[in-house]
Formats: sequence, C-alpha cells, structure tokens
Amino acid sequence: MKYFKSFIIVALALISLEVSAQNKTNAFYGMAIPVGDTKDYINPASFRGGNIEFERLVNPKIGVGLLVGWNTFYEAKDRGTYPINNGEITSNQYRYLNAIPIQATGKYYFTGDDAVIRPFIGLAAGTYYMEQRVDNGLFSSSDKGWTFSIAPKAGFLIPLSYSTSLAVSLDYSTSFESSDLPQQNWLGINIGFSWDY
Amino acid sequence: MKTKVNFLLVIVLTLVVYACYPGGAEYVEELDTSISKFDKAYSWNDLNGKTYSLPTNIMHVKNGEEVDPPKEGPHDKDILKQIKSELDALGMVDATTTAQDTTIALVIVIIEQNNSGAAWIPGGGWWGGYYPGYPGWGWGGYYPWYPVYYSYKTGSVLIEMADYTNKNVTEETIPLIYTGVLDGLMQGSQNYAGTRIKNGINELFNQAPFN
Repeated sequence: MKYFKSFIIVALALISLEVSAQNKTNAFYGMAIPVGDTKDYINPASFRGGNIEFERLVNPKIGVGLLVGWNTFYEAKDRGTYPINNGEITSNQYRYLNAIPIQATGKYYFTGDDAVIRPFIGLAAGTYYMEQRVDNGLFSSSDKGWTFSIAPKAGFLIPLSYSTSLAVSLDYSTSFESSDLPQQNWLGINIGFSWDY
Repeated sequence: MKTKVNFLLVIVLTLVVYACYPGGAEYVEELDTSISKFDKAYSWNDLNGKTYSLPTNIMHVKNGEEVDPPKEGPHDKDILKQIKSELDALGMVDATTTAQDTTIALVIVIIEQNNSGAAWIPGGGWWGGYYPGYPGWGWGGYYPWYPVYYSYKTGSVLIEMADYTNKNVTEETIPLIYTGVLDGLMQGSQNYAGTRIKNGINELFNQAPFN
C-alpha cells in the first residue's frame, strides 16, 4: 500500500509536470531567397519549402525542439554553352538544390502566452542533407552529403484561439562547406501555424 | 492522438513539397545536347586551306551493332550537306575537288540505343575495315566514346575528325583530333528530328575549337 501511494504521488507529479511543460507543434510554409554562393548557383527565390518543428516549453518563455523540413531551389538556365574537360557542351541546363534540415532549436519568447503578440528569437543548429544537382540535357551530375548548419531566426506568434497561433518567422540559414559541397546561404521566410497542447 | 497529427503533418509536408518538385525539361528538344571534345594540342587555327574528306555514307549503329548491310537514313544526306557547308565555311577544301591528298578525314556515325544502361562508353577501340571516305587507306579511326542511358530510346550523331598526317603506320590508326556528339531522345516526327539535328550541328560548329 505504501508503494502504491508513492507510485500515485510520483505519477501525479509527472502528470502535473507534463501539464505545466507545454508542447507546441509549429508547421510552416517556407520561402527562401538565395544569398552569396547559393545566389551564384541559383538566382530565383524558392517557393517550394516547408518545415515542422516539435517544441517543448521548458518554461513559459523558453522552448526547445526539433525541426525537420525540405527546401528546393531550382533554376532553368537558358540554352547555353558550358566548358567541359577538353571540350564544350551546349544544352539547356537545370539546376537544383535540395536542402533537408534536421536541427535542434531553441527559442526565447519575449511575452507570455496571454499576450496579443508573442515575438521571439531563436537559433536552429544541426545538419542539412544537401543535394546539388545539374542536369545538362540528358546528362545529370550531383553532389550530395551531410553538412553542419545553423539558422538564427526571429519571428512572432499571433494567438488566434486558446491553442492555435499564426506564426511568422525569418531565418538566415547557413550550410557550411563540406568536402562534397560548397557553403550555401539563404534567407528564409516562414509562415504557418503553431499549436499548443 | 497528437502523435498521429504530428506524423500526418510530416507526411503532408513531404507530399506537398514532392508534388511541387520542379520537373526540368518540358519538351524533347530541351534535352538535346551538343558536345565537343578535341585535342587541345592540335593547331586548330590552321584549318584554313586544309583538305578534308567526308564519307560517302554515314555509318549506322543500332543497339551496339553496326547496321549491315548499310542502309541510308532519312537525315543522312542533309547531315553530310550541312557538315560540308560548315567545313567550307572554315576555309577547308573538299579533297575530291583538288588534286591534293586528304588531310582531315571524317567519320560520321548515327547511333540508336534502346534501354542499354547509363554509362559513358570510352573510346579507344577499333572499327577496322574499309570505310568510304577514306579513299585508298583501308584504315579506321578509333572507336568513338559515346553515352548511353537507361529507359530511353536515344539517338546520337557522332562526327569524328582525324588528321591523316598524324597517322600511326605501325598500328594503322589515325588518332582522333575531334569528336562532336549530338544526343537526344528519339521522339517526334522525322521533320522534327531533322530540325533538331540541323540545330545541333550548327551548335557544334559554334563551339570550341571552331568558334
């Protein structure tokens, strides 16, 4: 009986901790504007992207989480002539950059969850699985691999209901140079929703 | 429940991005490529005045086998005519119109390939035998390199050049100084293919080492 009481007490304590430690799921549609080396490779902005973040508020103003996503950059170059080893190739060229982030995130919310607007700053750090591919007509060549990445971010939540908020954020992603891939940078614009539970 | 919702979100995200994935080429001709490979050490600036010899017939290779007996394709005459025109524009002289020996010999090969893999077939082999356009020589050039692909029916036009003054008497070969390749999918009408071949040859002669 003593053990049973202890078990009930511990269980209730854990349940109360779970209730007080709020969880969030943030889902974003992501646009991205290439910068630096990425802009040299693919100039147009990407409108194909999204990410999902599972976040746990360790206190009302600090959240930690895990983010996964996918961004695709693409440019169809006009038919042109490009150098190859001891020769040249004339073709339409299609350039792709796929970036799949798997990152740990940390955020600081400047206001509590009862505020009309909840601005935040944060940092994501982890890895990107990158694939950089160039198609020349029927020929395709690609470089792929895992890179270290960071993405400082800032944004705000606008609560729409008790558990749902509109979420907007900007981030600056850097995928660092690896033996297989050059450095990539882009400015991300993310719009989505945040759900509390 | 929330785990199921989160899992669903991940699936939805994946599907949405995949559905929006850019597809590349929309038309067959956008996959056409014109590739030139050449010997950089060759004196390309001295082509003016050199004699050339075009083959009487274009060799056809289908799925790795030479078409035998030779059969003239629908575009052969136009290809020969256009290449002659391009060579004349470079200031070269058709050997059949002069008493001089041929300096630059050309071989033209059309390759049709069906689902034969994705690889670059390296050059260096040996055609052997006698080919028209090599009057009195009886020697072949090196086997050309050419690309092949899975799942597509591709057509390639190869233009090879060899300088007869560089001949290897012992091996009875003439090292190639130039290979031009047009690659594309074999789809559409013969007129469409003819236009694409014409554009491709034009592109080859606007590339290095001729431009």
